[in-house]
Amino acid sequence: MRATTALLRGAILLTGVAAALALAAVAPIPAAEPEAGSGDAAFGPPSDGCLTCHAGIEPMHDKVEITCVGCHGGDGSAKEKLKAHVTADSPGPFTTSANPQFSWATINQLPPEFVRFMNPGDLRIADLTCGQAKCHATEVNHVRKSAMANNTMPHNAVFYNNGSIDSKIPIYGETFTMDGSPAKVVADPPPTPAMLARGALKMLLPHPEFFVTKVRDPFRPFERGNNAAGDRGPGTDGHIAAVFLNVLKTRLNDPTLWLLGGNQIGGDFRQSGCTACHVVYANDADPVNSGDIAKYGHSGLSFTADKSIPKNEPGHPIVHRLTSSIPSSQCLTCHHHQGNGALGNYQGMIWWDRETDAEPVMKAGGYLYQPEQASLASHNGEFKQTQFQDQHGHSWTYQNVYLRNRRGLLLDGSGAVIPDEDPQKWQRAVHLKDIHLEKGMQCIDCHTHQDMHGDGNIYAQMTDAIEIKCEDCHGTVRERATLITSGPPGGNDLRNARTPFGKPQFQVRGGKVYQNSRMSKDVKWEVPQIADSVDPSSPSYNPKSARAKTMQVGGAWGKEIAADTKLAHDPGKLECFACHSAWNTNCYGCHLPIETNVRTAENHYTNKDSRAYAPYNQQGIKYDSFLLGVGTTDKGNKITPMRSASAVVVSAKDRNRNTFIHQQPTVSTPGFSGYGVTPNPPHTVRLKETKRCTDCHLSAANDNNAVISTLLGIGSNGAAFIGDYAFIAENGKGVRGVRVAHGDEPQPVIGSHYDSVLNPDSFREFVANGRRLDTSYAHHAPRVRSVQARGEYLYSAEGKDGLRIYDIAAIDNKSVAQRIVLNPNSRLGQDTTLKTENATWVHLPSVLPMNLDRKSAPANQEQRPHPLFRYALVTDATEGLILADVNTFTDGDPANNYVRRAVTFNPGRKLDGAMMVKTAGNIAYVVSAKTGLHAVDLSDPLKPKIAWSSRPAHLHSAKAIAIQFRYLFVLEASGVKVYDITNPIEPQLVPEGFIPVKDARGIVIFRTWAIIAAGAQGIALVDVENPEKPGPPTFFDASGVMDDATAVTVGSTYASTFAYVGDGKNGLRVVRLIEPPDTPGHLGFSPVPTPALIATLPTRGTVVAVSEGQPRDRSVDESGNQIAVGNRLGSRPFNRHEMDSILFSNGQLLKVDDNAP
Amino acid sequence: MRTARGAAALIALLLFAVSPAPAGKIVGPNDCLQCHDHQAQAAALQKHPHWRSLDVFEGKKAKEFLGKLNIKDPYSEFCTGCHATVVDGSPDFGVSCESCHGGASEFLKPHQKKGSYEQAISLGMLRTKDLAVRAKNCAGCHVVTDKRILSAGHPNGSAFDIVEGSKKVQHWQESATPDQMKTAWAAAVADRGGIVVAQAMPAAASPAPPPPAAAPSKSAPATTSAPHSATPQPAAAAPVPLPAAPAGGAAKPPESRPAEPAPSEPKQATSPAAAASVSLPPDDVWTADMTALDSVASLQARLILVLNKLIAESGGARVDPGPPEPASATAASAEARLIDLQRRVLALQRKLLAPPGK
Repeated sequence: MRATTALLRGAILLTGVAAALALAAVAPIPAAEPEAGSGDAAFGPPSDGCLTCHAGIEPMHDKVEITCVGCHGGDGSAKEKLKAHVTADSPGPFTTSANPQFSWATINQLPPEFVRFMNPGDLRIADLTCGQAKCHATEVNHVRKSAMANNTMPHNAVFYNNGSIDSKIPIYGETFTMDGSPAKVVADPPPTPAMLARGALKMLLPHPEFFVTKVRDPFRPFERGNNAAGDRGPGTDGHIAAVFLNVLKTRLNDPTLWLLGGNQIGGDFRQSGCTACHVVYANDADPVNSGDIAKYGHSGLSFTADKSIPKNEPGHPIVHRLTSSIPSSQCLTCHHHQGNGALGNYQGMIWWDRETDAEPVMKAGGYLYQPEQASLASHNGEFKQTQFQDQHGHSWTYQNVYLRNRRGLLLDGSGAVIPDEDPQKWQRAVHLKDIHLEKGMQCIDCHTHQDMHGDGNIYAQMTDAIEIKCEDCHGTVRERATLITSGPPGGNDLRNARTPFGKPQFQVRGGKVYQNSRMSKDVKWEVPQIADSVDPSSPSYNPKSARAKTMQVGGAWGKEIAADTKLAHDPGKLECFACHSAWNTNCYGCHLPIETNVRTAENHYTNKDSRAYAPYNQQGIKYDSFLLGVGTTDKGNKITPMRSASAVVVSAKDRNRNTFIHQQPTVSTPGFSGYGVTPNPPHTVRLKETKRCTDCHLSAANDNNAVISTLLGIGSNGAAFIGDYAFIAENGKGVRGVRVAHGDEPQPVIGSHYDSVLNPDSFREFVANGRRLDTSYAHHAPRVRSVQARGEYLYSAEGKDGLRIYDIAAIDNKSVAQRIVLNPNSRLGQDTTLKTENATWVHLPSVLPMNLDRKSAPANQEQRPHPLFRYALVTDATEGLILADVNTFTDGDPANNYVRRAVTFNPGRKLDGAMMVKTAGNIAYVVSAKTGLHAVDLSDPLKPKIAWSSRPAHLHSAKAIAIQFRYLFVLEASGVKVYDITNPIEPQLVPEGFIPVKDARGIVIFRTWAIIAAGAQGIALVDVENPEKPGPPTFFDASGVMDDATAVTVGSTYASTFAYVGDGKNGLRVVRLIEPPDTPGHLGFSPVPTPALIATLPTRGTVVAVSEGQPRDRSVDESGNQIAVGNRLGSRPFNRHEMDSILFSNGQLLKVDDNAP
Repeated sequence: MRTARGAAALIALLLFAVSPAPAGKIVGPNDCLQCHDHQAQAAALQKHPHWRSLDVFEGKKAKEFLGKLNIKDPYSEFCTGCHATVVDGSPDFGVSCESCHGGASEFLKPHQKKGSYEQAISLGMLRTKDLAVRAKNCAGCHVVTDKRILSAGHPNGSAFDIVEGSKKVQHWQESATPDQMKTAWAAAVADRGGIVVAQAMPAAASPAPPPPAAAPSKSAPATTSAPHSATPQPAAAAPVPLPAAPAGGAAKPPESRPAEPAPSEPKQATSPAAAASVSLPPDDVWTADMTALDSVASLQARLILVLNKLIAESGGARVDPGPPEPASATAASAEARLIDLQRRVLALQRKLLAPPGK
């Protein structure tokens, strides 16, 4: 009809000018919006009285008008406030019309009619309001059972990763009855077997109020009355695992929809229930994140015409209106959480790492932000290393993520490095928000009605309810988009979806797919089709896309599109976003220090106070690395991006403020480390800045060994955790724990720049004292040669004293005189030593504690841990290789605290003179000064066999090794030699891989750098990005003082990396390698280190070894043996076969080139 | 009259036969589904070919078919009159709620109250309970009489079975028997002039652009197209297929269908009679009292006035308004002339609005 309209308008224009003018002159101004509650057509009891005060209030419910009382209840005829309103005798914090701050479970104590009055969308009473039979009953019913309401996934993951419950299928979730009582939710009808297999639950129970639980975590438990913290008592009093106390107190991504938001600061403002999403608040002043409502700021203020609402009181919606135009900033009031939601990625942000730009941030406001402070984003001009987001949900701060090269230097859109001094650098930099957001799409533009409300099933995981998939809108290489959702709960037709502006959400016109915005009126865009990008005749043809998507196993591509199963990137086996992600977040460190002596409210059910509280302290938020793994069963176990979520360490203080758990990693129910890895869609799709071939396959230039090692979950020492004590072997004296970082959060490394920012006074004193560390605790062990800390124990190789295992739990505050003791306190007896002839080295196949005795139910869909992880590997110069069963130190059984020798292996005395052993998966590499290097196959640990030995001519006086994925570095008389161990039982000496460092004594490979302890020369830094062609060594000896460097390891703390150098007779040296603000590109994968000596502990003995840190980026070993628990059903790191499918093609090493034609 | 709404109504009046019941503007299915989404109607609707009636434009046959008709954009009024729900000039949805129930702008809110049915009818809701009304409405699109598009291969409706068709879309309690439905359908088909059999395609389709507007009902003058005699219908002296929705988004034509391209159709002889009783309006059409003007003849007269004004502006010769419509003129011939006039107005208007030099 448009042409007709135009015709007649034209006619009007041209023929009846005068008349048209007359018409125009009287054309009515659009009528003022009627007030809510007025009008004959409104549903509900008359509410004229309400308008006495609330004059001007907007109608909440546009299309179908409902009176005030129709939603809120109360007396609409009364003209006095107290008669009209519903009141409560004890309204708790609900004393004004604004959402109160931190109301948490207080809402459960309110009468339902008051809850309804305060928020008709609250899920407790929503079936009387929004969810009436002929209105939104389905939605309300579904939402009450959805993960957004019961939040079951994070809570159960916490329990499971602590080993505190047996089932990976969630048991507990948060639901309430109308009067606020905890409720059980039952699926009726119960899920079918097929539904069960993909994550549907039969029921969820409310969290019981635990007083006593079976304690499965390896820590000294909290005990009833807390009178025996420190004892590992066998069956003493009842205990409670700390996690049960804390999970309802520490904020994961909660509160979720049963409760109000925190309503304290921009990023936290929201109501509960339906209105949590459908009534928007001023949370974020960034128009990208908030769309049209960004102009209302981030202070939760009201802009209603309702005269009775104060305009200067935070906690009010912007206006009194329901909407389906929900900006991502509203979603982020819950989904900002790095550890669980991790959807801030979409906005190109992660939690602040707490160190980058620390100085100006501390000046501007600090780590936890308060509402009275201006947003950190308003200070962005003051920051040199990063930029910040406007919102501060949960009082946290969020830094932007920018495109950087592997050295960490900022790049512009063309890939050129932006000079650090460029005043326009942030304008030139590429902010890696998701391309969909950049084009104007908010969360609701992808995620469907069903995605948001659930489909009525109770699900184990958030993603189980997600029906949308990339291909539903973008099609496949062969077919254009079907616009039918294809996720497990899908099958819905997207063309039925409509925007709040009455447009169909999707339209097909002339073969093109268009999408109308749900956020902004009259905004639409074309949805690119994959089929076009691979079609050379299409103007949208993209050869890179065609190459990637049509590449067949074998290398042919482009001409014809082969069957999916023949495609190298078979969409049936690989998620789209495995490649289409610019970056992903990793939580390589999270410290939860529980304090018993703090009474805090339980936030979810009762609001009752109880003892113990642990805040979050992220220590390793990074976006420098990208991991892949196997996704969940419900999504077909496809190859998918994974992230560390999270490497949690726990500390605990008892009622006397004695630390009795000290920075301990957890052990999960199936026995894997509790350093969980989670499959996640990163939500960081970019057009250009996406994954290239060499990000996931070996490069032709051979410059990505560390990248691929990280990608596969094997790790590259990029996130090792030393903690506040480093452990050293001080030959001639003993084993020693040295305090190298501060003990209270935040925990900067002593002497670091971050330390100077946080503790300026003590830092000045420290510098004045010559940067000498002053706290360390030792245990007599004069023959110590090697130490390795794991969990609460320190494993030590001590010559003829053999293997000795010390209790280092609570070293900082042990309640006994001796901080390191040889015998843990068990009344049932113990012996933690193992006599050997001449122990030279101890190595643990997993530095992360694991428990090999745990059994996991088949329903948990877990692999079995490889038995190798049960053992400590000890080299003995006389006996060869010894395997000692040390599972007792994680099994929690008080009755078996004895170390047993499982295997002694020295066939033909080939391992005589063994100096060191390290494993790469099932292969142990033993180095002997006498006989060279040997590969010992430990696939069956009890039946070792020598698979390979080096040629005698190749190695002379070999003494130490380091391994990174495909390469092994051997220290011998002439320097460092490099072996290619792609085939681990046939190492090949790399001719050009020689590093000429004399007197090399110790080595560690950190990302693309080899750090070599080089005796009198200090340490040598060598670029081993291509291990076959190492760069020249750069020596650092701290102006000559570091002249006996013997051992070295690295540790990452916040955004920095430090080398811990055993400087022989000089003691322990802490050398800064990467640290803001001095290291350019410190946020990158592998910046160029800028070494500086920051702290020293002088010792009397000779420091010959430094314990490795916990490798927080290592979820699997080189043989594909799982180390870290997968956080979702069926998800796990790759096994070796799967790794090989990425590394090999037709039996040959697959090497790729990003720019190949 | 001098309100925006009045202007819209005036424009509606100008082009199309008018119903005394106020013509509702199409609001689109989104507004209806604010409530009805939660009921069986939506589920039924969204699975029905009606809802997908735009899909044929993207189908394989569409290109060939449109080529035969020389139509470049199937989303123009030529096709969307039947195939779409046109909201604010945009054919966003397939056949949807208001295609059968009438444009809802006037009755959307009032009909939400219980017992408001008659009020809603008076505000433009179609009385779909009335079998004759319903059948006529269906026939408006399901019986295709345009020989040109039939020649291009468009189904003519002979295959349509009202009983089975109703079942597919049924979201109501059906009280009529199949026989009653068939009888009503037969009457509706007869009213549309019967099922027309496709002819061979006329040689070389003219390069003329597609007709600018959906055609009005064939049973154009209100007085001659009272609803089915068997159906007492207080508010519906209206021609049962509601008037088409033209400018300003006035009522959508449930039965509006592609116009017969005027230039290729021979003009019918005209003789005065039917319009004889209609007095021509004053010279300035825009100030006339429009409520009295309800015949094709008077619309023609107005268009001639508009046309002459346009011609005067462009410096051309005046158009002879010709004799008034004869009483014996068929609805088809009157309609053809009307369309011809519309086309000429459009062409002139385009010419006048074109930038100089083109």
